[in-house]
Amino acid sequence: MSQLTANQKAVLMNELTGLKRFSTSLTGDHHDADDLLQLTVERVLERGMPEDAHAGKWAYRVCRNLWLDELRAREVRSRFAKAEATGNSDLGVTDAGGLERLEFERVEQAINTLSEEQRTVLLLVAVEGRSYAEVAEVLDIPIGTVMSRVARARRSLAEKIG
Amino acid sequence: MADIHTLDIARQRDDELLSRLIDGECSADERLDLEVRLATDSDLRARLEEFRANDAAFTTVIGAQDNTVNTGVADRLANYAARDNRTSTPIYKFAMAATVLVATAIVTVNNLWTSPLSDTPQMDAVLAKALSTEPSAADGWSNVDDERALRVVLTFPAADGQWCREFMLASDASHWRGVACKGGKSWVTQVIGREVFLEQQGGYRTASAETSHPIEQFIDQTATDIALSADQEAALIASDWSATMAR
Repeated sequence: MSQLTANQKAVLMNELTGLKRFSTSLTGDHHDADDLLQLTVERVLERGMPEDAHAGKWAYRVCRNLWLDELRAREVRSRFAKAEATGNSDLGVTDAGGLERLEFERVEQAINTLSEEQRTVLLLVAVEGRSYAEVAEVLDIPIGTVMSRVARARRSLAEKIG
Repeated sequence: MADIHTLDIARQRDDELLSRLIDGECSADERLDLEVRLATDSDLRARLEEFRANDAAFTTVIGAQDNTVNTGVADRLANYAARDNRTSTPIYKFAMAATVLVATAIVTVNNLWTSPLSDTPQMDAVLAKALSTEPSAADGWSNVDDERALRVVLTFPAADGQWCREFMLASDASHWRGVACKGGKSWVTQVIGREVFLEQQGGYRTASAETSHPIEQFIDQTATDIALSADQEAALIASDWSATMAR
């Protein structure tokens, strides 16, 4: 591994907000997302990356792997599942953004019922505009799995939102 | 007659197709087939619209989250010293080109770089002022004072966010080449060594022959971008070396 190039640094700077969204999607918690993002940036800066690596994809993978490590180490998954079940997931929502309040809450609840895998692929595809191939690379899963997860996420949202 | 299970599988397939259509992941044939079906199948059209509407709602909710990046994280990254992208074309090549243009023969006495010399020129206020104000040039000298003349070769950004200048310094006794970087308000010499100008025709090596020159090594390790253009450098000097003016 080597020190980041100026281009990689610039790409990473531009990806920070997307990485924050990604972290929030993974953790389901605004505060955990802050911690995860910080860990991700520190890890990337400390360990660097290959000169030909795309900083955005690399950082997303680091972020995901760190979260998996965190889940294993601290059994956060069970805590998150509990929060999901009670609907207490702290996503740090600040504004309804044009949706009616009730509708917004209904959508938010529907999102909270998605599995982390479904929420994350839908975020990367529908919000971040990533291709299935890019998501497969970031999440280290086959493209077919990305395809089915995105479809299942949309199907699930359709059932919940109605 | 299709049973419920078969219908559900067909519905899942359609959902996956619609999903891929939304995401631009359908092949041309799949897209064509789907468009034909959408033209005649109102349920399928409604499903597509439902997915699109839910995507929009999903994006709205995600966008409404607090996606603020902690300033500590952003600062940590902003202050990270990245290395030059153009490792295959070291910045020192620009210095070499400028030096060759001078058409002055230079031979570096390499052993002089490795040990401190009692007569090594020291940075002082007069030299620092000249470094702050003189533009880079391929030839000619500017008088620093009665005893010294300066030629700035180039200006480049360093990995630690500082601005650095390669320069040549001449006096009656000797000639020096060095790099100084601006830390705060002062210039600090980073590397400097004596150069011997041989005046006998044919008795010289070009500067480009000295690829292992300590200054080249220093610049290769320190520079984060190519040398500034004349206009960028002029803007930087005019801004009194404020960090980002000329970048």
